[in-house]
Amino acid sequence: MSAILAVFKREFTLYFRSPIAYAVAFAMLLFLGILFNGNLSQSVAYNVSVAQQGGAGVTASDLNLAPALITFLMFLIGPLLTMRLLAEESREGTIEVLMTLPMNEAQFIIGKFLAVWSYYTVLLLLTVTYHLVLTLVGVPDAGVAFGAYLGAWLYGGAVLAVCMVWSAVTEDQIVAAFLSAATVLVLYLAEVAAVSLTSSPTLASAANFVRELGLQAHFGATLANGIIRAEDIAYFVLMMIGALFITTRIVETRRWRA
Amino acid sequence: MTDQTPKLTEQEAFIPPYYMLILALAGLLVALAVLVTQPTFTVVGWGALGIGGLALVAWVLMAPDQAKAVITGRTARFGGTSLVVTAVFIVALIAIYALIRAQGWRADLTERDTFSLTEESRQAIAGIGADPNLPSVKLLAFYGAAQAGRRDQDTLLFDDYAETSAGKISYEFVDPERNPQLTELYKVTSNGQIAVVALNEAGEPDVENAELVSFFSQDGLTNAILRVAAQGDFRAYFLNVDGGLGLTDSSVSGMSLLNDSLINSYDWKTQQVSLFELMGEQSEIKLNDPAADGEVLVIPGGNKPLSDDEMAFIASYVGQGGSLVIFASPSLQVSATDGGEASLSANQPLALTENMSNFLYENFGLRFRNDLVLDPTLSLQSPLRPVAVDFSSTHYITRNFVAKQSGIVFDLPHSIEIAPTLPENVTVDELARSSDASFSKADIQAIINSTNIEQLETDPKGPFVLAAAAENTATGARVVLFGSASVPSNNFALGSGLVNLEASFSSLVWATRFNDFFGTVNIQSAANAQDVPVFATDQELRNINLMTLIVLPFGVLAIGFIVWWNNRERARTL
Amino acid sequence: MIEVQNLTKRYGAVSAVDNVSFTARPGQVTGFLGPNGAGKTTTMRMLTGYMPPTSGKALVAGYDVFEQSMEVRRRVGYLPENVPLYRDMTALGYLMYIGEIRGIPNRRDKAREVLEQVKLADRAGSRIRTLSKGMRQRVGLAQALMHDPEVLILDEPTIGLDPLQVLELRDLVRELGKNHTVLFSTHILSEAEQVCDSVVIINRGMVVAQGSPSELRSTLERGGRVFVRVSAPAEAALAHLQSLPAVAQAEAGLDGVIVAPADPNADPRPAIARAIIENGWDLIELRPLAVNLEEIFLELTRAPEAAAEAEPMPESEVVA
Repeated sequence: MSAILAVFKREFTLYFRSPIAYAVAFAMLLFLGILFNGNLSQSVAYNVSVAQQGGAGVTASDLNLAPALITFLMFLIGPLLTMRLLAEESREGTIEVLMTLPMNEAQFIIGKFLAVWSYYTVLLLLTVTYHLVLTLVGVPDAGVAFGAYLGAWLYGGAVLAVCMVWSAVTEDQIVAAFLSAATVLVLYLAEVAAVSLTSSPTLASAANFVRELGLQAHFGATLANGIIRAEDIAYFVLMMIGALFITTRIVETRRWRA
Repeated sequence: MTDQTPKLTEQEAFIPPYYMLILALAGLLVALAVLVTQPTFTVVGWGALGIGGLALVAWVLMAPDQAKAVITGRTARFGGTSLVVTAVFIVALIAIYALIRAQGWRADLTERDTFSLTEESRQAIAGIGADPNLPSVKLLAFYGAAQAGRRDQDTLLFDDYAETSAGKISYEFVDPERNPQLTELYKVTSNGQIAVVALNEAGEPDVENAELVSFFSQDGLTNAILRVAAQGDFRAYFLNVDGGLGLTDSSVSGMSLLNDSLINSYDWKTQQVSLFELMGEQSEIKLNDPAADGEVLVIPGGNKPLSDDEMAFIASYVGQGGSLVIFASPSLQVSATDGGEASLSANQPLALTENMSNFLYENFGLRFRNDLVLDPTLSLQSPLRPVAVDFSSTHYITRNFVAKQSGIVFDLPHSIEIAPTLPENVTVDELARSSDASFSKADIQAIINSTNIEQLETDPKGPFVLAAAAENTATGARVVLFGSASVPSNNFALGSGLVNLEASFSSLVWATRFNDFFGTVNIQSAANAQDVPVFATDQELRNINLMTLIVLPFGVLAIGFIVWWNNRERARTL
Repeated sequence: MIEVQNLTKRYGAVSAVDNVSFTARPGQVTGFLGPNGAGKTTTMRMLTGYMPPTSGKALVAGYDVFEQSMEVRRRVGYLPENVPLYRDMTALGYLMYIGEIRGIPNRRDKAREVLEQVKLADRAGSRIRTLSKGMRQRVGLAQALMHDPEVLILDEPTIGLDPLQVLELRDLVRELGKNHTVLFSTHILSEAEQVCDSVVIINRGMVVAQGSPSELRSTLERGGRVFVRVSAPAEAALAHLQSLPAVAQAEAGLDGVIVAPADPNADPRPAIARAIIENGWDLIELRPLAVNLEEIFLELTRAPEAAAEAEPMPESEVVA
């Protein structure tokens, strides 16, 4: 435990010293901020015009898109935050010292993962600002917001864990980042791929399998809208466990061949 | 594998243990294939899984050292077996996922109950569940492949329907592309529509009376379910009288729109019959039929008096608890001449004949006056068509009408007189009143002669009661009077803001106690604070802009810059 | 105490380390010698638990490196070859990080103590990227000392240091050798000779010789070979020396000629010197071959034939 904590503390504080982490946070907040403000002022203008005709307007719950947008941006955020994590340790050789300390791979990798996930959590918490702003101009549905943020949090964890696999596979950070981005995009688009698969009736369950393998099927329709399903939570948690297990295996196997 | 080989040789007399491993792997692969390719986990899948599991157990028993080595040995962690162990681990994770998914545990966190029943829906649906006479209802959601997300969402709502109705409501997702026959059968025109259909005792769907919900809303779906389930035996007999409105007549003087909504939306039986047919000894139609869940006799205008026999027949029907809805024809008849000028003539409205008036006044304490209500201020096109906007907010028939925003057009109406003392067991409600500016003229002949409709000092001033409902609580008989036969006609059924059709319809519902039979036929969920549209002043928007576009992102950037600068400085000085 | 028995590491068909056996005793510095790619680093990685062996057994501080890896890791301090460090951390921060993973109480005091020990206390707060190569080497060494290990494994610790730093480090290692088991790899022979109490020479993954430096020297000297350098065309000198009766065989090598005497117990040098002078050439160098480890090493590692020749070395003398 103390080893996990030690690795976690070092990596987590490193994020607050690393320029790339600030750059990611800045770019993300700027992007979300522009969309949020554009949406908000448009909606207010629309509501004013619609109110005169007595129609239904845009509610506050429709406006906090931050969690959903972050899950979309994960194909950029994930690789950027994780590419360094293990690739650098292998490249610099620092892993050789760490793996001769009384600490096994699992502790090392869990510590690293918790650090990047925690940094991601900080990013996510920054976007709660939008929710608070919305309480000033309307009544956002707190249940929807909670579900969406819980979902985005778990979603992020799963993506980061998957990206860590690639960071373990290659010593080259750029290669790790590209492979991670590709993997995350594939998982993100699995839902779309599943739709095209269903054109053939014999592939119906295969299509469903592909869909459930993807990330969005467990977030977009359900958690993002305030629906909690055991299988969605399980998907993200098991994804994390699976990816971290594979990462551990890769680091162990690399040691065997080092 | 090198550290395991010595163990293998000891077992050579037997089946080599690794055969068991191969068998286990094959079993698991088959099970996985079944899981992926088949809609359900069939016997083959379970069989393969069982064989795989047994083979694995057998292998562990036959070669315990080997099994131990696989988990703890160096090849397991580093060698070729690592891949197999990883694969087994991932298969195990998928199995755990499948197991959890099978539990189907889910919750709707939304404060607005977007994906679970609102209080209003819940009560209505629980009512269906509790009533053994109501049929089961099936929801067929025609969601295409691209709507898998909506399917996930609506599963929660549909489950809630099923649970709340104690299993009476079931649902099924249908892919329109996969199931064109079914799609055709329910006349589905686009993906995302939900067909609501009642099932008979044999479980066969009553496709004829199915309803299609096109724009999904929970209230809309609940109401469709309520309508489809409302398959009681309700009958409305419209008397065939001279000068009365035709039930299936689709012209402006017909009632086809009312008839259509009774038949299509609520599955009533409607029929236009003459009193002669009803009174015949061999008549197929029996009033006061105990088999019916509700029935009503409607007199849609008419300008020929009823004979005493006929009146006695009606009185006997009402005396046994029968219900009556009367729309009065006007005393004044307006007809266009060839020259385009209106010509006026007197009329003898059925509703005002003496035997009818006396019957109504003696039994229910109300009757039509032989007059003409005019309204120079609140009327449609001419003062001869007053519009009533003042409704009883408590009576079932008018309680959903918003005063001053919806109106009932009365063409050439009579006012209704209510007795100062009502007969025993009778309650009377005024349903609609004309405005304060209205007045009435009793001398019809004078109007015909002078064609003068100006208000005179002597004319009684409004407001007048133009619609009223009475109930005899002892016999259960219910009577609804409307001052004009224009109320149920197609002429005013579709005008914006006009509730003529709704008023006619709900008076039939009330007269037959259709609403009691069903609880409510039309629910509307309470509004939520979360549904209020967002609003902000320009100043607020500017502040929000500053906060989220400048302070937040650039603040983060500034902190990052400071940290970077500090690190840099230290590097240089040390 | 390090006991290695038949340790083997194979990558597919290639053996990086093949059946290596040796022992390093407590209170001694054991030198691990070999050319680049001989398998020194691979062996050391196996001993620290970083790399699992394909087969064979190694006990470090009494624990099996594979079965009880964590126990071994608790008792071993390891300085890897290229001294990988986190460049963004301060020296003190890095040591405290290592200390925290190792679960050392009072890590701050301990870190300062080891920094003092490696004479780096004044740079404790500096970021590692600002330190010189020698200082980094010492940070790496401090890292290996953080937990007072029973066994120290140092992989080429003097590589890339300037001469003064090398001397300092050698002193430090000798000092540490007094109360630790130190395994010290190098390809600089004079270093091993100065620092080590015993030496294991490895080439192509196999142990080719082991013993104390003096034992090794006397063993090889017993062959009585002589190195001659003459101011004459190499081929002429070679031919002439070959023809001498005292010479069994002469061959070119080490920029001169290596001569094997006909009688191993007789010193051929007077005869050789005389022959050269008589021939009118200048004698530049004439000495017994393999007087230092450098030459033993070259002898042993130059060619596979040489290694094979050296195989019947009396291992039993070294391995108790």
